[in-house]
Amino acid sequence: MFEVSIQAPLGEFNLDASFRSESMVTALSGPSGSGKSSIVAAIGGLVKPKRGKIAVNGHTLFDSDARLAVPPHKRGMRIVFQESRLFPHFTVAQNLMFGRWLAGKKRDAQFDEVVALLGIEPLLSRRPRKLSGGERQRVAIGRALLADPQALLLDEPLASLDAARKEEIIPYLTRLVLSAKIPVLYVSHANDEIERLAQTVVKIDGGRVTEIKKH
Amino acid sequence: MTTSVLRAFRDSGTPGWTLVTILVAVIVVSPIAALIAIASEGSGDLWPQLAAYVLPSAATNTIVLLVGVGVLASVIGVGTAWLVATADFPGRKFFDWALLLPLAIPTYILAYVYLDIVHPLGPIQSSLRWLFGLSNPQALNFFEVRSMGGVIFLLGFVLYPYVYLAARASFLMQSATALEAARMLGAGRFETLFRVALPLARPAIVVGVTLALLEALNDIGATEFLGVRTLTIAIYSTWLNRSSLPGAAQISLFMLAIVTLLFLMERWARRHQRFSGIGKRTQPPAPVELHGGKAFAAFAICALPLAIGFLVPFAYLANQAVRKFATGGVSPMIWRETFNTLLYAGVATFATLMIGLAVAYTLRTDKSGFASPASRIASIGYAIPGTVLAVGLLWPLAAFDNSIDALFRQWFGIPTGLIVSGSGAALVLAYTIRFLAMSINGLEAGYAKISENIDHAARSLGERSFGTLRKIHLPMLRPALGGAAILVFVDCMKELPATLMLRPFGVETLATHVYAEAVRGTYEDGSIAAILIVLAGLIPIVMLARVSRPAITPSTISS
Repeated sequence: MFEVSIQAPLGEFNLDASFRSESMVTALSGPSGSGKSSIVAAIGGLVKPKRGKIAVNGHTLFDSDARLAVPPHKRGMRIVFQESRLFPHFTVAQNLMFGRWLAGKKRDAQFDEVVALLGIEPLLSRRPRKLSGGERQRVAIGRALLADPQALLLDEPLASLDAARKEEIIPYLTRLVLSAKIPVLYVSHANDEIERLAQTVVKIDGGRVTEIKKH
Repeated sequence: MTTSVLRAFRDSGTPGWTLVTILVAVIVVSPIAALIAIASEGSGDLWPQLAAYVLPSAATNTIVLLVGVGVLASVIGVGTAWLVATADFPGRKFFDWALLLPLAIPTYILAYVYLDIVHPLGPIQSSLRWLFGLSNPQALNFFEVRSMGGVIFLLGFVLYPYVYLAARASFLMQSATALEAARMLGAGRFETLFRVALPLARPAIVVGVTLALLEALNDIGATEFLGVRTLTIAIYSTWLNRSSLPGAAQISLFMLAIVTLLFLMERWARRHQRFSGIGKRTQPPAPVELHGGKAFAAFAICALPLAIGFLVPFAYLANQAVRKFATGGVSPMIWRETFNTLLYAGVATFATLMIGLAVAYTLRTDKSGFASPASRIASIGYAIPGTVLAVGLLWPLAAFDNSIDALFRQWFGIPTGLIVSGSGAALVLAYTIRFLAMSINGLEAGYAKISENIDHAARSLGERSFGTLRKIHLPMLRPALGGAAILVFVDCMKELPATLMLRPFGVETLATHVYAEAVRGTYEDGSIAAILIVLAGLIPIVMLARVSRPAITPSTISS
């Protein structure tokens, strides 16, 4: 599902990471500053590695030898950022509809399904600043799911939440990961519950892959 | 009521400072009060004429001008900011700061240069005729710069940096996280711009446009040289040619109404919109690399406003000044004018900084709650067009001068004459009122960086209020004072409308010299004065470019 082999300067050291995972859910784990988020950004196309190759689901997104770099908005990689990054000028419903709106799609059964899965029905008409941290993260996940993802990249979605908010969102994440129909890359710096659900765990330290575990 | 006010005063930290700030606010609004008083006296038989013939066309011209400049400055400012903030193309790093350069060219100098450049006998039309082998100067039906379109074009190309600066900051920092999110959800560059970036940057852009429009409203040179009769021109000519202060005051009040309208529209356009803190982002997202035709187009889009707003006029002035210098040398007048300019600007800068310091210090120590509204009132001068301010000051100053004169004649038998108006003190007062906001804001920002614990420490060691200010704050505020001093000084040097009306009789500054040469049509004679003003104007821009540099470097990990 994920095939990554990239080199890029990263702070004081170099990112030089290669891994391959055929699992539906892959966890990327390691301490802060180890290069996890840079790998996610490279897969999404937000940063361009110096050398290497990235393929997801059999589609090559980046290949320095072939001078290929698919523009970020055409990759279909949907990132859920740590700090949710909802659009403050839209309501929750408008945020959820953003991807479908760009694709010219209307509200449909899938919309209702995702809203139900994440339990965000009561929030639809609210503005992001009126939401709690956990609610925001659920909406951000919904927004990514509704934008026809080729893959879902969850970049430490729990990191900015306190313990109570984490408890609130974990059941939803578990449900999501267990029923994943698209490749999911889950990034965490702690050995947390969601990570344990992944079929493959890639450990990163100092910009390098130190271990690949398969469950 | 009275007792509660008194009690609030007694309980406040340092009531003396608060009183000073309130006094400053009163002085700042006094020209407006004077305008109302003079205008209500009535201008006799002049008013029907003003109302019938002058005001309608002047008001229409002003509004058309504001709308035109607003649209043009927005398109240029937002367009270039978007390119520089989100795309990578040849010259991007240079344009990032260079696009600010037109700020160094006052509107009257820009108009002055272009009138000569596009003149039938000027370089553009001459070379075109040469190119096409024409000999008759009237053979080319060239774009007439002496028109409303011409004024809008020139002001738009020289005032866009206000919008550029605001939009760029918003695209780079405030909305950067949201822009990345939009791209990750499949939005292309144009969808990201129109559906996310622009709505999020709107409050910032509106502030930038308002500043640009205040400048346009303040302009007296460009509109006059290019023959567009705006309200500013109407005020000036009513005062100068009809010698009617009440008439000028009436038009001034009308103009203040337009300024108020502008601010109401600004408020409306920014309603419910506070989008700061969408996400923490210290580095802007990686720009999109442009290649080939797109890269060239981006280069051209950024190069055009820079060329029209700065490079062409600067090169022209430099060339004219060098030629003038080589043929006739520097006229002795220019030394005198430079001295006058430096003197008035220097004294005004000192006064502005001292008053700004008193206000900023009061804001820090005040507990009565009066200092904050008073300081906001003291800051409104930047919104009062120079001509309006001058009309509002003329009458109270003359009254003051006359009563002093009468007093001295009566008691000592010595006439003092126009002691304030005649000495240039009036000019210093006008500069101070107009540019006080810059000094207050700058020093307030400087104060924000000094911990209040330092004040407590000084006071607990027995230092008094003034001692804390002088021995502790002043040295620590040095960078803020320096920054504010340069901004105020350069703006004083460039100021034209109030200078024209309030300078002592027979005194010329660099700005009034350029104006006089332009009115006479002897452009090359004003070039040295003009280039001196522009060179001074470059200083704060270099400073600004250095301050904003951290935000400028892109954060590609590939680079």
